[in-house]
Amino acid sequence: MGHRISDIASALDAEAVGDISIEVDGAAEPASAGPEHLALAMSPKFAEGLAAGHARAAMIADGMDWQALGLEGAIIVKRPRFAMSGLTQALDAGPIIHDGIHPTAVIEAGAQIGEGAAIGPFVVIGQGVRIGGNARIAAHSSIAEGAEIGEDALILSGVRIGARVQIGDRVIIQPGAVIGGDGFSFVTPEKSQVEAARESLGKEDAAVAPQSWTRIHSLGTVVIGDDVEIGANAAIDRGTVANTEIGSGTKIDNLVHIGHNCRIGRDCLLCGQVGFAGSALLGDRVVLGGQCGVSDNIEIGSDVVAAGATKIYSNLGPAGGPCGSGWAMRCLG
Amino acid sequence: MVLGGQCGVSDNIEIGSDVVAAGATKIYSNLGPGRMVMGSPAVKIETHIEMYKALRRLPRLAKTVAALQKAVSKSDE
Repeated sequence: MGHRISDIASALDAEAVGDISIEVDGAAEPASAGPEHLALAMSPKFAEGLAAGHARAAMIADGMDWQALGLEGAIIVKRPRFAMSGLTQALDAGPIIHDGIHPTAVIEAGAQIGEGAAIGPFVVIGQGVRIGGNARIAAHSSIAEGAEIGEDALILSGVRIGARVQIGDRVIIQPGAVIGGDGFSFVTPEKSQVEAARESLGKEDAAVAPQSWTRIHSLGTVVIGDDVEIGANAAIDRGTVANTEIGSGTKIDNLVHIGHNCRIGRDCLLCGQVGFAGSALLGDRVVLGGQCGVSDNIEIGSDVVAAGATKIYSNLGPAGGPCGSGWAMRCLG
Repeated sequence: MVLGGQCGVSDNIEIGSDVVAAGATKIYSNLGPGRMVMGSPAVKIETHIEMYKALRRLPRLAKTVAALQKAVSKSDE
């Protein structure tokens, strides 16, 4: 399936020059591009590779000379990194999930499936679930009773969505993610060693009387806004009484763990293996690099950026605010 | 025993009963019962806090030492 470079350019709000009728069926690095590819030559370094490849057309940055590069046609973009978003969207065929409900899918009583939704093989949809229009749900996913999912959702294979979880529009959930497992919440009849450690800050090594952990059930659920993306095998636990909340526009990478009662703001970026102990309050646009850890019951202000593997044990004010710089590197501050 | 989130435990070591390790503590060696530890490598929580405070003071300390060094080398002249 070919895409005319003039169409791609208009999707990117960019300019097409030369032979704008050239059709491409994919993107490639300049040196390995064939005539059917759009070469990505937005930097002079990559453009050097055009000579070694066979691309007829390329995407280049503002100010580059397409004719000198030996191209027949080109798309000229102002901000190459941003153009990658529109370009990849235009070229991404996405997963094949056939329209309608696959015969092996189980749809329980009272479930409402929106118009244009596609439900793949072996999907299980529980009682009273509401799925928005044009949602696409891939094989082996399960959506438990009472869950609500907005319009245009893309839920990839083997995703588990627990009971009563609410998810907004245009969510993308990568394979294996689990949303709405019970919180890791246990209590002891007498004061526990953790409470003792917190009180004394470990000054005294105190063995406590032997006692077992008793379960606190999770009555809340998970509420997720619009335009959220959740990575493969990520886990978001349900709240104890209130809900665990994820704000609109927040993007969550693979293997991120979000404990019960966390409230995460809008447009945050949580990279791979980030872990939240639970009950953390996160502002908007917070970026946590890979393997960051966030202690329980703390607040992190808006616009905080934490480098990879930063461990945050105490409150952090918003970036530029009175009590914290944007770079969170403190512990027990 | 309670291990906070993201803790790590080396192979072939023993951790006693009632140990508490703060989040992201990495334990590389045996720990007796009832110990409360933090950091990488794991040390007593109190020690870790002292170490961390000292770490925060290091830049200031380096400046002080540099100033002292200057004063000493001047007095040598």
